[in-house]
Amino acid sequence: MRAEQRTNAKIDKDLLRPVMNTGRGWYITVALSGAMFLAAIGAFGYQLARGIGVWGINRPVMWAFDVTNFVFWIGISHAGTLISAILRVTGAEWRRPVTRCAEAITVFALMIGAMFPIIHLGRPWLFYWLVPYPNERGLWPNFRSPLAWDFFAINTYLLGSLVYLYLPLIPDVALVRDRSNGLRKRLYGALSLGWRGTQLQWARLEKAVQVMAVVIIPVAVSVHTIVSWDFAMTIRPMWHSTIFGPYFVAGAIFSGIAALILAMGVIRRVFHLEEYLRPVHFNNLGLLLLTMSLIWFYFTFSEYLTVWYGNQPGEMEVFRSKISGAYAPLFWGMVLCCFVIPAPVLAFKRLRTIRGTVIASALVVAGMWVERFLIIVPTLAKPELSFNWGSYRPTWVEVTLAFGTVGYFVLLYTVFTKLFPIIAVWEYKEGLPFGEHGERTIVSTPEAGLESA
Amino acid sequence: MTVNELGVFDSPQEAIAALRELKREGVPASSITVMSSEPLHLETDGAPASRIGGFAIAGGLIGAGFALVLTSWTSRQVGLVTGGMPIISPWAFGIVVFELTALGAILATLGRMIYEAGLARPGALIAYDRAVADGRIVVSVNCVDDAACEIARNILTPS
Amino acid sequence: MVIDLDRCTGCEACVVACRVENNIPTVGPEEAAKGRSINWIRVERYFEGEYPDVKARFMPVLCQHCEEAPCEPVCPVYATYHTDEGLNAQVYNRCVGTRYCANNCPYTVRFFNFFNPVWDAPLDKALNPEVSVRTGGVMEKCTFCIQRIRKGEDKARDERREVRDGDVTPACVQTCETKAMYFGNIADPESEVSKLSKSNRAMRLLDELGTKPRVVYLNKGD
Repeated sequence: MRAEQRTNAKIDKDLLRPVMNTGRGWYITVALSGAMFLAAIGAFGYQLARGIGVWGINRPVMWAFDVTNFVFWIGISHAGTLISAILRVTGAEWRRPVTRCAEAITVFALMIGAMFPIIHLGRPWLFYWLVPYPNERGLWPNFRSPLAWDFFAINTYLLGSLVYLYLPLIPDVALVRDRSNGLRKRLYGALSLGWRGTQLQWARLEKAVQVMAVVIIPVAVSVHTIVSWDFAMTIRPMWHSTIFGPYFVAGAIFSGIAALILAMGVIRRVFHLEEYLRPVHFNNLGLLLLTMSLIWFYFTFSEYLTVWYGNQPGEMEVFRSKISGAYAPLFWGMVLCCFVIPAPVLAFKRLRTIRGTVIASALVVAGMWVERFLIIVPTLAKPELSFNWGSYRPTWVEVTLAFGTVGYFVLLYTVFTKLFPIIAVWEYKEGLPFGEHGERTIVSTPEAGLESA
Repeated sequence: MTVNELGVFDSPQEAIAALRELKREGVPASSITVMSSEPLHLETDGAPASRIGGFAIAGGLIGAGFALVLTSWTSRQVGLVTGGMPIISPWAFGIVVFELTALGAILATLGRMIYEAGLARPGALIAYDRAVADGRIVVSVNCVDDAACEIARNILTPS
Repeated sequence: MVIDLDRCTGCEACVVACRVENNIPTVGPEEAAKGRSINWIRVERYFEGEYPDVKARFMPVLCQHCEEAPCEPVCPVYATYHTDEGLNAQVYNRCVGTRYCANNCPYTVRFFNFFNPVWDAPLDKALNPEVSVRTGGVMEKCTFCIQRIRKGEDKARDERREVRDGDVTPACVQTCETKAMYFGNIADPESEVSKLSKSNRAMRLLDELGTKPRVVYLNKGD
């Protein structure tokens, strides 16, 4: 058994370094991603001024990039819940350095995803009509509409994820507070709510996090199910499918894990956290990603097989356009990126290295964006009455919005890593046994092939 | 006037030894507070059980009730027929009820936890030493008179 | 409404009449090429067979005012709902432009204003004052000329009688030169639409979807 001693001081130094020191790379990242974000704002402003016609949507393809991005980002937001909540509930020790990374992805992905229902409106300045509030017109939202369900689901999930991120963050905020002076000490002092680290407080924190983990798992499942019901509740061919609920949730967890691996790969390199985000984490997440890739393939195959076998004319038109028609290159590219390449890379231990999992994850994230697009546009392009068939091509406004929100995500995440330690310090230490003089031991057993860290 | 005596220890083992001594000297457990930068999982004897779970359930029920009233009452107020669905559509409204149940549970958990942990109130950060941030254990004893303070001081700050 | 497909010649006079009556904007050639032209009623044209045995089929399609309209429950702000008279109403002021209703309409009869409409002179002088002009970002569709329905109902009420055939004539029905279109009160057993909808030529579009459309097509006369 190999044991590695590491002092408390060193752990604190490593994990707090991004918060305490700012490198040039941080400024460059903020500048670049901030520029992308500003470009998106500019595109949106142009759209507000001229009208939503500056997009490529038309009749019959009334939804395209807007709803694709919406579903995509909500899908990415399922990273945090799976890792944090399910692994906490099952007591998996290897989750410790990964939880906050994942929870932060969830919160920011949700914030961005929640923007798109507003951006895609014909009259976005009236978005607040979807909020149930008493008004002099006596009007309320229509709670039968899946879009109204979206409003409640996404807001519940956003608030829940914020709470779930914030609670375990409190002790680390106190840590930064105690190492700061002046304004930073006051701000972090306020944010830490006067946390002292008494055993009663720890017990209450752990209890609250446990309850939150149990509550947030069904919320997460319900959120992406409800988003999928935006399509499944309609009667359009290849939309009106009962499989959409589980299909979308599986796809969300799939893309979420991939996004998490990508984020971890970047953080590990950029903040020199190689000793904390170890191969075992990428290995375990890579195995989860492989599982999700297989599940995604299973659902996709089920969906397409039943459509083909049923041979309903309306559905077959949409099916053909995806398999062999205008959307075939995108469709087969998606299958390549989501299954054909990642599955073997993740299945063989020799290929399931950190680099291998990161590459597979990048492909998966791209492939899943295309998957959302292919769920939406081909169905809309081929309505029941064939006289009305159409097509779709994006304009620069939609492309700018899509990329700009990626920039926004990077910006939010980068700022977050500056404000708070991206690895939960207390949670990480909790998993290490104590030595005599406060050193922590990381123990690895070659037989298990795993490290407890 | 109560005073807080603080002792700083380098490792949990030393802190536990001090705790045992304090107990031997008859210092009541309710006046001792152990602060650390991570949970120590010491046995908490006599500590009151948490009611966070109960509050979460209560919050969920309140959320559910609110959602039921919101959806049913407002739909009847508006009174418009959409797609031949009934004015009160239980399956559709049930989804909103589910979400607001979860939201109620979440907010109740957060509120109760902050309350039970004694956070977010003035004077929360008393009897504290920044040594906690360095990974050391701080033990504080809340003593009522000079004699008790003397005992505590001898144990907490030897030498 | 009853439409006799065996009489329709595909002349599209109904399309023009509807656009004049209801202030439908022309979007211009570029926008039309993108698929954004607005035609509350359109004549769908299908060709059957190979030359020289080609047959052209014409089918005017407009909002079917379905009894159980799929477009209605999906609107999150109640901008479309079913009136007591059985019309599918569209409330322009309430529409925030999610376009969900258009996505759930299997007949593709809903049209969106992607830009603020513009009428080049002198067309701006030809607007019908009885119909509102819609702004950009709002969905619109055939209303069965609700302004004419209200007028007909008001006249009947003034004369203290029920609405009868001939009181209400939508613009398309009025203009059809082959008299292929009929409009009236299907609840009145004496009305023409009531009798025609019982014909053995009667059929409804996409019946199997369960939307219960209120437009009856008469077909298969040849």
